[in-house]
Amino acid sequence: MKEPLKKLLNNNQLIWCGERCAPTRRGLPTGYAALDAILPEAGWLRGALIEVISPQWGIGEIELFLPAMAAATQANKQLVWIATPYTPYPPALVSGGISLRHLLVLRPPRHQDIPWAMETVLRQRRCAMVLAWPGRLISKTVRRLQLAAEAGGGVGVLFHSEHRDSSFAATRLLLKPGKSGLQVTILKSRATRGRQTVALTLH
Amino acid sequence: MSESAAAAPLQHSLFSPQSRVDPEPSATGRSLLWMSLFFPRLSLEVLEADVDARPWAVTDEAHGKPIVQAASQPARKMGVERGMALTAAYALCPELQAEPRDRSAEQACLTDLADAAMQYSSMVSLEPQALLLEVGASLKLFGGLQALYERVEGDLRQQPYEVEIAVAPSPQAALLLARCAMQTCITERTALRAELGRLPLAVLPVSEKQATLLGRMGLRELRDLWRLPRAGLIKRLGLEFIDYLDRLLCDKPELRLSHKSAASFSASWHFPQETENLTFILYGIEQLLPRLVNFMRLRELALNRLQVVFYHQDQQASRLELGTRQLCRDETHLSTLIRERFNQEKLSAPVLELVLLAEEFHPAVIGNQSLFAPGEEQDTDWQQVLDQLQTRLGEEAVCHLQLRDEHRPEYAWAYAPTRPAEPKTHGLLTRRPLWLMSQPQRLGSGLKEIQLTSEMERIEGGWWDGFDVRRDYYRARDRHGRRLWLFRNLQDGEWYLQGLFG
Repeated sequence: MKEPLKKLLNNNQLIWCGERCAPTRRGLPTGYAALDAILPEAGWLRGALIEVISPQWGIGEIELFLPAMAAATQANKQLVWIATPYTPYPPALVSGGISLRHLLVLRPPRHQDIPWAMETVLRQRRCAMVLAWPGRLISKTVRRLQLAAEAGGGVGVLFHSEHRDSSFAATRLLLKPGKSGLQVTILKSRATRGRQTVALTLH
Repeated sequence: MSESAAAAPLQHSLFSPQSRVDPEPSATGRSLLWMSLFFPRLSLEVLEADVDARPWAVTDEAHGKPIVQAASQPARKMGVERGMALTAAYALCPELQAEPRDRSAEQACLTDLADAAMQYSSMVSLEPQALLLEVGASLKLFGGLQALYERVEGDLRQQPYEVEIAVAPSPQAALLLARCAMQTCITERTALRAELGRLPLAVLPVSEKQATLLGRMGLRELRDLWRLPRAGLIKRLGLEFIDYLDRLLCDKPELRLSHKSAASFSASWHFPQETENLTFILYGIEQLLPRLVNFMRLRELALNRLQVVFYHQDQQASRLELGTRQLCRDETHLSTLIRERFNQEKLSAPVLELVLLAEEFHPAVIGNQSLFAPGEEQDTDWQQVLDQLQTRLGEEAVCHLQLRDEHRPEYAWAYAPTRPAEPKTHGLLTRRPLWLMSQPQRLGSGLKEIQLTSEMERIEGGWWDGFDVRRDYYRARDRHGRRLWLFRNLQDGEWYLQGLFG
């Protein structure tokens, strides 16, 4: 490839060029070396949505993001959890390294306010990660959330319990309980190498 | 100038020597200086926005007859003058329209102007159709009289009221000069006599009887008065008149009541007709918000509670209450919050009038940010986002989590409305689940498919507050791969699910 063309492709984030031209930005380290190794940018993409499909809650879906969240709060960034299925339990959060000062919990009384709340906080530069359990979303809403994440530069995580064919989210993960932890399958990511599965050991 | 120089020696002999003594210097040792703002057409301007569109006049009662109090420019061209009987005015200008004077509207308008004038001086007093400001103390702050004068004039030009400004060392002199539309600044007491001397006697606020008497004495200008013996003047015109002259010439100090601004804010907006259109209603609110913000700015206050009251045709008034998490006096932020509320709440009926009401204010501590905590620098922005979330989702919906020193798992945490303090290191040795059930769930027959994966941990105690527990906790896995936190209640022997290792 010609040098100027390569430069152009490398510097333009809107063009995905497969792994050879994968951008060299650093993502938010996940805290799991095995996962960092197969994710582009060696971590969670900043300014993008992650869609997590998990058939059950309570298989380690929060623990997957715990190291990244802990690092973010230590760096004085804000975390927001929206419409959680159960109560986040502070003693475990503190043991996980999360500073409670930087965790905001939103409990919207109406279901339709969840995407609005998520979009509002995602637009804030101060927010490092926003986790939401929105239930069913139409693809237009997901697109809006993706744009909000791009504007704010944080990571938005949408938890779903059922599999859908396509989504605007930059990364899609399928979670399954493993023997000694969690099996993470990357369904979609920028510069993807096809479906890849990694088994993580949780505590 | 030669005339006033000639008049000077006479002044000494004619007025009593003790009245020549300087008035008591004020506590700070500086001399007082008064600025008078006179609104000559206020009675017209409060009734109509476009005063000079037609020949009309505002009338007042005198001796049971209506007389012209003020007239618009087209009427004045036809010869209608202030103080004229209405019948005479009709004769001069047959198409003249007369409106009765609205004193309460004038007073309200003057009070608003006085509130606004508090930014130039801490001593503002109300006069009929005029305001008096003690500006001697403000000169240093505003960079001299010239700068202050220009600033006041510039600010007032944006108001829809015609104004005459005059400055003098005595309040009465300032008022008189402003009423005569003499845009003069007199700063020296010694110059007062010369400047005031040129004014015709007709401008003095005296009774009709006194005015005729002065006319019969052959006096035309104020300087004629200076030349007369004091005792004679007292005899002919009374002590009150001499007292007025003393105050006018700054020979006697004058006590004035200072305008006290209201403690709460309330401003209303009338719609020309009932409306349900949000654009109009928001427009009305946005016209009132700058006044509220200005109200707070002048008093160094901020609010965290605001009400908008809507008046409807045949229904009870409805209201919309707004709260912010932190003290606020930012216009755009308040406007965003109100818009946000309108997005979710519907008006109960068309609105005739709305009132912006704020009764609780707090001293503002806005704009002070820590120099050494760079992480908190965007805090105000973040607080505004929290306000926005709270306005739409409700106060309960926006919360933080906090730890509590408690060994029973369900009491070891709480929701906190504000950001909690950084907890001391949590001394837990065993793992706790990330998800907690709101109530422990009894497992019953589901127990068979569950595999325990950890040692037992016993938690007991609590007899002191009536919620005694005796439980053996285990970690476990169910057939779906969920990682559970279970306990066996030693009091009833049943198994319960209390948390999930999410």
